[in-house]
Amino acid sequence: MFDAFLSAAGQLLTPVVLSAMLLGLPLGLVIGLLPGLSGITAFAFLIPFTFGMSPLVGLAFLLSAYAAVSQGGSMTAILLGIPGEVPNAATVIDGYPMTKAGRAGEAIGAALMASALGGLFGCVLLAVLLPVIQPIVLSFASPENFFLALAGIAFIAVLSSEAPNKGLIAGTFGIFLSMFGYSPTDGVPRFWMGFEYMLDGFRLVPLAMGLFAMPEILDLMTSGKSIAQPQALEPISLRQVVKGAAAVFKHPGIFFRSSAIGSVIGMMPGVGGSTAPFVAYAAAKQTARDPDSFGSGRIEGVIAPEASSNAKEGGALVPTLALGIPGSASMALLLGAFIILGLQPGPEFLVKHMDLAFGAAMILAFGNVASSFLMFLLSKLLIFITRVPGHALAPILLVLVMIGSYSAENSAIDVLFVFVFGGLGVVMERFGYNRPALLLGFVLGETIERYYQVSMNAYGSYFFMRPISIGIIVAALLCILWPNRKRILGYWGYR
Amino acid sequence: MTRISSSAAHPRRLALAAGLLAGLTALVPAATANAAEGDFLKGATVHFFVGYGPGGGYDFYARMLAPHFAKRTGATVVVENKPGGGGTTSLNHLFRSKPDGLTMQMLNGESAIIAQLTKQPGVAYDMAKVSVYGRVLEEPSFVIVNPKWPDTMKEIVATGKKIKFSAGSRTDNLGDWAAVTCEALKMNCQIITGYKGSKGASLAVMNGEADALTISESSAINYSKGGRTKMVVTVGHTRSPKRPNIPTVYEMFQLSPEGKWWFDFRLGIKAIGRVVVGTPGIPRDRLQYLQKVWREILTDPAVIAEGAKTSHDVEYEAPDKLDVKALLDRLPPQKLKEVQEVILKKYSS
Repeated sequence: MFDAFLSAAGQLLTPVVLSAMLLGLPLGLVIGLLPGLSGITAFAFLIPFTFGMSPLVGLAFLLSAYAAVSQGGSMTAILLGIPGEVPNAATVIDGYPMTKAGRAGEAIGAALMASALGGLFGCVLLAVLLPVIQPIVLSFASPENFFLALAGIAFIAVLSSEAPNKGLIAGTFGIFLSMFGYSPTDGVPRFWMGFEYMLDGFRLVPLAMGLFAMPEILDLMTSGKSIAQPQALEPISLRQVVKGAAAVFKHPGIFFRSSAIGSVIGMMPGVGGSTAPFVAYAAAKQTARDPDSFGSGRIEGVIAPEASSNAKEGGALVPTLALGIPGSASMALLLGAFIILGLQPGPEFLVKHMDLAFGAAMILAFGNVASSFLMFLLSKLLIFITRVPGHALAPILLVLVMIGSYSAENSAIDVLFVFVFGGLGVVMERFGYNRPALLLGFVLGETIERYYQVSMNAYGSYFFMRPISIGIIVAALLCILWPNRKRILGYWGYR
Repeated sequence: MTRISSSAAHPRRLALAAGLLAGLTALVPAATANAAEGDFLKGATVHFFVGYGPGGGYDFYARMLAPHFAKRTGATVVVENKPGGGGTTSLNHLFRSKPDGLTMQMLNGESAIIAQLTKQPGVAYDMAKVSVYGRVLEEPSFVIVNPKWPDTMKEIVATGKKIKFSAGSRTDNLGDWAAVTCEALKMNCQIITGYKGSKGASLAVMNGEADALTISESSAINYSKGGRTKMVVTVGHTRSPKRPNIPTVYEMFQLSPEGKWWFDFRLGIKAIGRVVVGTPGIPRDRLQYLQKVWREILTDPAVIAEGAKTSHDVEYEAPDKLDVKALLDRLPPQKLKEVQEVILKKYSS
């Protein structure tokens, strides 16, 4: 085992592999900085370039770019209030208010450090768990996926604790929107109204872009002001960024818990990593002394989603490498890339190519740290964006959002829906409805429906009696009820 | 005049010149026909649809083959991903395109036919009318089961226990294959739908949530590594060279005529495989030229080697062997109803 580790490290330090990583990083950063383009786009765009590369060089190129995408996405979430990818939407909640208050540098510093260390955490866990992971992943079946998603959706209540009713309405509306198009179990399309596009229901990218980007763009256009008000700004400096980065070390509890949440959710092939940052954010808020101040620019609200977002990638590589079953849509593409490079992930892969598996973990770790460093160098430049007058910035952003939304599926109808959901986003913002809650409802609605029906069909109505399912139910209940324990105990008269 | 006399003076030269002239006359019309044949493609932009998102198997084949098509025809080929409706959207789009030979698709022929036969919502195409250029690949299929089950399909059926098949939906190749297998072998079955593609369905067989799955050879071999699942029968007329020790359903079972019909019917659809098709109603000369170009590409040893290098095999089959119209015409209305009943309802949980 240790030999494989050393061999992987030795192979990584060759000039070809290092150059492949250095080539992948900036490409990933650019894709990440464009709103709407995700890790999936990065893989789809870059995989053709790996034809003919040796496996490790190809992996170095792809994984380093992939690691960098997430960094780019969190930058736009913080600076512009526009999540680069869906998981970055959780970062918007506190990151964007920090920018508006002139603390963009601090938020960026915290995000970069949390991402880098969270990514490292995920990769270390990946390397440690790889040899023993198969029975663990196989013990998670449909009921467990269902309860994990259900626990995730319960956090809607936490995300919107300042206005729980409005949060629940938004979340429920998200679940409703997820029900358009093919039913996940019997393949019969619902509410498609004879409109071919609607066979697959509403798409995630236009929804996220519409909800988050359009209201900000409209605001910039109409007010003409820059994102950060000059009078609120202290001079932009790297000192701010360093201060933000140091904040991660002041909150080790939040960092480790968020990274663990990210890794575990990433590891489950059924749930999909988009949930992880929301759950981590909610957990950070739940355990804070003054949860009500979240949403107004708390640095913990940036650290938690960013750490979990990058940690989940290490986690998602676990089932991809150990079982050949991808943990997410982008991992499915990575699996395709492995096959193109002449490798077939699965148990035999781990026996034959343990060095490559360790190599993949190390590349991802390097990618996380190196892209954070690159972003750190770029951060001062990027912060200037927040000072550009609104009427100059808005058209550029609008074009970028349109390109991002169109290129997700090469569909002009997606672009139309950005405007439709943009209208919804504006209304929700105006009336104080929680937009991340809607997004979470949309992402998890389909998962819950799918795994509930599969669980019922496979196990009957006692599907919740499986030990791991019970464990998840108990953990979720504890997490939700713990902050209110005094109130609950008081209510029952045991205080 | 001078020429005549000169020719008369040199009968041998005359014969030679006449021969050359005759040869040239014979050659010139042929060369003109060849040039005319492919003229519509030279400098034109050809749209090559893929019914799924970028990065998947169909996308890979399209991107691998597109440059070869461009090289042979002088056309500019644009691979366009048009995901949606499980491939239905792109095929509808192809049917709405002009029949000029400038639009083609890398198609999952099996899925397209099953969707049409089971009258899936959104289907606005008719596979009987599609212009087939050539098949890229057809893989053998296998039934794989959880390791707790016996080693052969015969023993498994003999247990009489209910067998749970996993699938994405009833018509996604996994679901309809499961239904056909259960019907042909008169098995006690339940089909659990809702898994995310073949990978999700395979994971369910590995962790014991489901018992069995009918799946392509490459996936079956991959998921059987390390004893996670077992390959228990070949679903095909002949054994696969990669797994010659696993008998076919025809060898393993004494199939009733009805049982045999079900396998023959479904294997007939499967034979269409991954196929390159074009808009219906393309003029005959253009269609023949396109079929010729695709035959050259898909039988080119360099292309086959290029595919093999990345585990994307190419095994060409000519369009005349893939008569979709005949396949669909052979199905009487009463039988079609039965097919719909078996695939859509009978074994659904």
